[in-house]
Amino acid sequence: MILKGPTYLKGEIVHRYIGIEDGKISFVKRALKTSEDVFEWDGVILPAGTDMHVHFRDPGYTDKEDFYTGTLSAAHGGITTVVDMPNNDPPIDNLEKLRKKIDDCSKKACIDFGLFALLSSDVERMLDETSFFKVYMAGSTGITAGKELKDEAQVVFDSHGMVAFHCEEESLFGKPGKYLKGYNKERPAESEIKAIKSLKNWPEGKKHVCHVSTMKGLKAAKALGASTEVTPHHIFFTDEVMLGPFGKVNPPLRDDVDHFALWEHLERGDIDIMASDHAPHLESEKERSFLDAPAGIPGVETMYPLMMNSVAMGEMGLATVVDILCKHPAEMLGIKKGRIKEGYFADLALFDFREFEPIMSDRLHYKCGWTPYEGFRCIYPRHVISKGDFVIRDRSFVGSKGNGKYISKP
Amino acid sequence: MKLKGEFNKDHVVSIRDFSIEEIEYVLDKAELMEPIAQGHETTDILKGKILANLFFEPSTRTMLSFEAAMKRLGGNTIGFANPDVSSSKKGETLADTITVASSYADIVVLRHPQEGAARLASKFSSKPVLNAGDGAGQHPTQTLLDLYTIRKERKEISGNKIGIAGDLKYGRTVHSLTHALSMYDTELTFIAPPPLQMPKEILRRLSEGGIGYEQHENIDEAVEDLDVLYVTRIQRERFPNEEEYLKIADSYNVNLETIEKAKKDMVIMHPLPRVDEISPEVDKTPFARYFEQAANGIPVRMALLSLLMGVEL
Repeated sequence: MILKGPTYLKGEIVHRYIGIEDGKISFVKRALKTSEDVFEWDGVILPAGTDMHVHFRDPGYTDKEDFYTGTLSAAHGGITTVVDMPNNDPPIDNLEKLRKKIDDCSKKACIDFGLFALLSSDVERMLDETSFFKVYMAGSTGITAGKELKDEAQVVFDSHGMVAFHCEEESLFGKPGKYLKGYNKERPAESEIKAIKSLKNWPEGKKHVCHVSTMKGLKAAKALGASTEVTPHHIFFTDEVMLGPFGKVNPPLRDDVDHFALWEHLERGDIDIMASDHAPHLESEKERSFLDAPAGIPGVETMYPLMMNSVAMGEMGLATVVDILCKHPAEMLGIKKGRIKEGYFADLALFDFREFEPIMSDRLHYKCGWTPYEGFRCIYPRHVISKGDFVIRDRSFVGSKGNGKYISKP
Repeated sequence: MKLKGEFNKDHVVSIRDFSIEEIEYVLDKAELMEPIAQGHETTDILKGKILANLFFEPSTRTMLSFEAAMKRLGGNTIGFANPDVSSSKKGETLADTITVASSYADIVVLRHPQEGAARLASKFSSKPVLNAGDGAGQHPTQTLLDLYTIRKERKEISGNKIGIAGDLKYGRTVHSLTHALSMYDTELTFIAPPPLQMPKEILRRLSEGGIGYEQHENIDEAVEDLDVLYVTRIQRERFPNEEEYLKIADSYNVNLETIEKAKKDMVIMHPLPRVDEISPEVDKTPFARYFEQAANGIPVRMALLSLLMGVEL
């Protein structure tokens, strides 16, 4: 296949022909003499995204999401690679469970995927299948905070793997807070900052700080040399938003100062990646009282489209968006995606800057059926290509369940 | 000790930072500014003072009104209305821009596309910061001039039945106004198509605070016992296509038929600019107060400027 159109190359949009062979980009050329069929696109051709942080709830909570609906939804949002978190039921903390999850999810995945395993005493064996490990410093869905696993982390670092940390310090949690402002006080900024600072006591290696939500937390993470991640909900919402329990998430939505500072740092390229932390819960669960509602916000399908709207509105640079959603996460994962370059996988998202539309929950493809971004303006990709094949064509899914491959060791 | 109702703010960032006494104090001061705002009297209480208008997104009306307010008080203004001419495109942080601007001027007025910018600016500025709108966040001078208009037209804010129509789900200025009105003894009526109704969270808080409210789907069925009808714009972009937008927009048009059902002394307000929500023929009726409302921005902003500068009339 040959694609032709305005193409994103090193921060610029230039007219190019993109050759695709065996799922990879075989050439990127200015001009081409060909009688072959050329697929012409007059919007913009961007790399497809990699989402390093999703909770597709499979196995264990498949009423909320499963690996098919999760990857289907991701594809519709221009994401062709996801990395799923291990807080399943059962939690993925040994090689057998990890292998079973790989097998089961491979049958359902519409796009490529990687898996985080829970850092545990079985780390050495699990390293056969993955290089990505997660440490929860505070409780989360299906997880209670674990003991310190510094020796295990050392094993991961010795084999050049990555440990991702959910940084919240439970000893600094206050009494249960009502409303989002109260929740921000219950799990305060200080608890994140302290948890991030404590990472200096862990062995040296590839440390990743998930969903940084505060300005000081970001500074602390950068001081450590850790890689950093921000979620769309922390940069689109503050604790003043009137979402009630639907805005309950860990770490909590922060105040307007942290919110603005994160936005500014993101714009300046100080944050490595954006990841959705797609953490769906059913509407019926979220409609409970604030104290009883579970924490988590869905967002895998809306992340890239919302950022494209920010680009169209002049609020965020296109190069920044491609870096944080495509290039950097693919580099982190060690896969040849996220750039439009010869030899890279042909994972592409074709957008049209004229195609604005409001986000509507009933048009999304994940299972839980609601979005905090209802009515927000966004730009969905019209076509999405993964490894040279259309997975989304004219906004419809044309891929197949089970086509997604597990990304094992790079 | 500060007297009850006295204004002791260093910055004006959000209406949520105001008590009802502080709001009333600002509105009292605004009333005193009226003759000067209208040009019948003159003053130079802010002579030699400089206001910096830092508009990181264009909003011509808001910028002009701050300029007019400052000049009516005898002061001067500097600033920019186009972010391309500022240093922000060179990668300067907002904090640095504010630090420098506040060393040149005596008061900083900030408009910025991102929520939270004004609060951050207030932390870095050596001079008072006045939020002229930060993204989907706060626009406190709009809320204050809305309240001022209601008080001026109806003598008092409490005791009124106030209808708010339009995009209530996303309209953050409407949320701020609702918050402010809920501090008074008012009855609220929310008029919006179901997908654009007030967020449940706001309704829940009103109930918990003992504030009575009604909800309606169109203006005609709600209008007859209102004292104030506050109309806002319904944005096209909230709808998937033109057809669905037009269906809704039609039932949100205030025209001569609508006001026939209204009380004779009902007041119609609108933050402007309007599109089709209010038919032009309503402009000439005594119900229409939206242009007066816009003009009220001047005395209210004059009051805030003088209070922040610590100079009273």
